[in-house]
Amino acid sequence: MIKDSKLKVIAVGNDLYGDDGIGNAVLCALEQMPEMSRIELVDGATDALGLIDHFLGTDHVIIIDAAQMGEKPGTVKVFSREEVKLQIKMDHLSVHGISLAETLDIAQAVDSLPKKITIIGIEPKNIGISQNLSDVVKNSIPEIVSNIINITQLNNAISGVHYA
Amino acid sequence: MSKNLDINVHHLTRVEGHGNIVVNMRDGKLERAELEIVEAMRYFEAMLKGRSFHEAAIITSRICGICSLGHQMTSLKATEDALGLEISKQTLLLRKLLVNGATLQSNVLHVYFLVAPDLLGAPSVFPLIPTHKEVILRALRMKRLANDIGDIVSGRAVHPITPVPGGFSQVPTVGELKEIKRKLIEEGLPDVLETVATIKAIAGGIPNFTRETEYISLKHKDEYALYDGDIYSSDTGATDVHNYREMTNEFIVKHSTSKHAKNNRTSYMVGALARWNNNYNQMTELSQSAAEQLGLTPKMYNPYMNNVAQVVECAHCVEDSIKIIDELLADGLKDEKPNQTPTKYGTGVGSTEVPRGILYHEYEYDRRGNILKANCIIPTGQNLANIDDDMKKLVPEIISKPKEDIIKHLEMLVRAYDPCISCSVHMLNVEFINED
Repeated sequence: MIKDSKLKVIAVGNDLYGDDGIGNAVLCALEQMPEMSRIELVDGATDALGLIDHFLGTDHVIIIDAAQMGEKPGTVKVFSREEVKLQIKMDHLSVHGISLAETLDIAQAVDSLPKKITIIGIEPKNIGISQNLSDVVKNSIPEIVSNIINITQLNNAISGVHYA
Repeated sequence: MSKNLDINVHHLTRVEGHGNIVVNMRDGKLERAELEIVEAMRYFEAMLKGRSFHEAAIITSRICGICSLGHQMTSLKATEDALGLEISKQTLLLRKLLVNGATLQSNVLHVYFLVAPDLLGAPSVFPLIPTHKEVILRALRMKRLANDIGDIVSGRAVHPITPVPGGFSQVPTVGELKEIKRKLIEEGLPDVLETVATIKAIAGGIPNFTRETEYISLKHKDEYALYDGDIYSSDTGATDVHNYREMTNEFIVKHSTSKHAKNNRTSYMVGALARWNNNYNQMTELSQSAAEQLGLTPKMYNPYMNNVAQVVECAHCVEDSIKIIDELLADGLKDEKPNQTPTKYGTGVGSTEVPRGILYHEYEYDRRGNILKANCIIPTGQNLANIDDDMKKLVPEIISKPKEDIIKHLEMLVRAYDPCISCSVHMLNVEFINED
């Protein structure tokens, strides 16, 4: 099926590191849903800088990532890039010393940001080596999925483009 | 001349993971010059135990975000060696193409985003963006080209990984390969030439330091060895990859949670410069001319020139990829099924040159094709002792410089090796500005 590239959902993270795999788990859930069949789902894995390629020709990108927000584990927050200050901290770096926050700055500097970026952050409980999500984070999957569906429906209403 | 010096660079930036540089000199005598690695050990090998041969490469490709393809290839080779799975010529060529793409991608990223700021005296790439936008766009274009090779050959969609034990679960189409070839010629070659010109213009910032060491890489009789070959030491010559433990001799040191390695001396070097020193005459024509322009001469003993060797390899990877695609197209693409019928079981070793140097995986399989034991030796671990030895020679040579210059030299030295200290956990740190 031809995917509509105006909206992309990109998961970032490494599913060998416990709750850092939340993005991937959400993608797996979305893949099963008929209403998501025209939306491009991307496993951004651990290549932060590679996200810039995925931004090309895209109006709206939703990024799902484990995020340290000082909240209770399993908390889901939806925010735009403008709403948060993305701290560039070395102890939670992305690949090669280039983080997601830095990638967004580089993308902006070279005029490659999509019109809109929505970040869905999930507070992790365990990011040690494990291929399993902690229960509290796994339980947040329906909330994340419903957030994504709401965003896509809102997009439909605004743009008149029907993703589903 | 300063008689006392204390340097502690806590958490060196622009490298993967967490490393500290510690140097002490007392009364003109060097007491310590070390790269401290304090990250917790990660037992990936334990994660592989009990896994089936179908899973090993999938798991190991996620060990490291930077070297995922390198781990995947090395893992497949170890599995195929253990289980007696032969691969076809088409598989071999497609894998070589993938390795070229991964090497190109990693080298481009490292040189442009992590090393170039040092050579231009900038604290990071960000202040350079407004004045060097075209250069950044070129770097991103080259990275995309490398990615395209990965996407088309390894099918990196949501759930990737067409490379499987014994072959590919899906092969690219003729049209896709032709399109990659067109991009390699129309974008790749000119961008590589521009890269050489850019690096040449700032190469004056490369410190003049030499320390001859033992260089270890793969070596292949027919080609510049990236995907396959024997282990080759500039000191002790060639040996079969099955003897890798004799060449790595891992040992524990107090200041590092990662093991060190040595062979004939107290340390050895792996990576682009080791590959160049051992195999320079097997590189493509374009890379030879790039090397000449950049002052990379045979038997180069300046570790900082590792980054120049990375640029030269970019030229090689682009040119060699075109050649590989031509061969694939000339042979005609076949819709082959992977050979996944084991003919034996036991122990197998795989070794590949990943961007940072020679990587080894060894697996022991039971008769059902499940892993009993696994061992992985990564390039950065092998380089750590060599970095320490470089620092021990470098510090006394530059001791009369101001402390900040000494620190800069040391930081650049570590970065020159492109170390991958940790396998990263990709977490955002988020601070809400308008939080109630």
